[in-house]
Amino acid sequence: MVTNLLNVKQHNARALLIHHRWKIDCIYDHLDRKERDRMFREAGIVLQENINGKAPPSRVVNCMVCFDEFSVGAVSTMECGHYFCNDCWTEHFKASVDSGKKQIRCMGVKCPVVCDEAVVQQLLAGKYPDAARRFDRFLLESYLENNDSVKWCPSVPHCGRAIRVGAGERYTEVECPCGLGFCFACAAAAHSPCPCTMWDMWEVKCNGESETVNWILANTKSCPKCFKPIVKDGGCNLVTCKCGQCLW
Amino acid sequence: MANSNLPRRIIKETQRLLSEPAPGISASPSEENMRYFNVMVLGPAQSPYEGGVFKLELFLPEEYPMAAPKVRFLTKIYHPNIDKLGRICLDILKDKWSPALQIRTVLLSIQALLSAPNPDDPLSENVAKHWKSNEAEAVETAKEWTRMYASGA
Repeated sequence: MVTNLLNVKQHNARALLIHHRWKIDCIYDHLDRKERDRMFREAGIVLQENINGKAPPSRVVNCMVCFDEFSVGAVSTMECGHYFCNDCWTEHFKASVDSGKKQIRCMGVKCPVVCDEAVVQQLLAGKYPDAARRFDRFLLESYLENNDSVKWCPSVPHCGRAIRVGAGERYTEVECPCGLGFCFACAAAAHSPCPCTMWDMWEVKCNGESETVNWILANTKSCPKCFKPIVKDGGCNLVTCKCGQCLW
Repeated sequence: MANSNLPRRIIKETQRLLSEPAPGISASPSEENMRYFNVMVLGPAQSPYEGGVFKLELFLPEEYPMAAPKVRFLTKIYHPNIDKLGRICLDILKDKWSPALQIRTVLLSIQALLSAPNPDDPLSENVAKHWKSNEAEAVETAKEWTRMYASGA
């Protein structure tokens, strides 16, 4: 749908959807309020039509990462116009997948452009088929994990289902076809009318590890998005939760 | 020899660093380990570090250039983004690392950080507080530390 509306390629549409957490309304809204170009730029997308002839300038080019010379055929250019040799791209993609990045950015210095999935897949598949499979799974999971209106059913053992709710129903209790009823907001057992935070404290108290709890309360902050406790044991104030939320 | 399978990139970078060093910066590899560099950075003019010679160590991990080099100040320095162990809070050494950056560009960025301290993103909480509450006095302390610890080359 987004592909047709904005006339962009599939991977660009995906980057845009991930940036807007899969809320199509939000994309429409931004499209109304901002210019199209600015919206793309913020999501790390450069459209092909905006770059004219940024392909490598000559037949033999220098890769600025390994400093070796390559023929144009052994080099890939991203949509931002940055080009590097295929070996370096492959290592970069592998390193990014290994560190769990869902969106792989260009290797250019502070370049925000998200790499074309097709290129990532193609290069990874040749040398690191394992990493290619993991990247494939990331793409699927990104739909679930970044999407506020879809959640995995918390059943143990996992029934394999995910539940989707409408935009206004994120705080409701739902029942999975496997029979498990749960709170959609915090994924705990259904607990209305008690709010999620209070329920969480109650559960913690019931589990009886009060000393541990005291330590956690005194030394950690909860992520404002996923509520996981986070401890900062040094470093600067730029702390990013695993779920992607910045805090501190 | 442990250095025999050093990637071409590291060899080339080292050659260029030695043949055309950046102004105010010198970096030379250790003889035992070509991935370990002894670095000297001159304090930039018009900064509280002017006149100082700062020693740093730089190490290129196995994954380099896919991972950032590890850099640390060995000379004591009074700066809101550098802690007492010499660790540096700089985006390109962390999440903004790009394989297209080099030893040279990293050291130039560190030199630039000396000219432009950023107390809003502190690594040394106390120094940053000092910097924000009384900048003139903090700058004086930085000058004093430069004289005390960074003057003898």
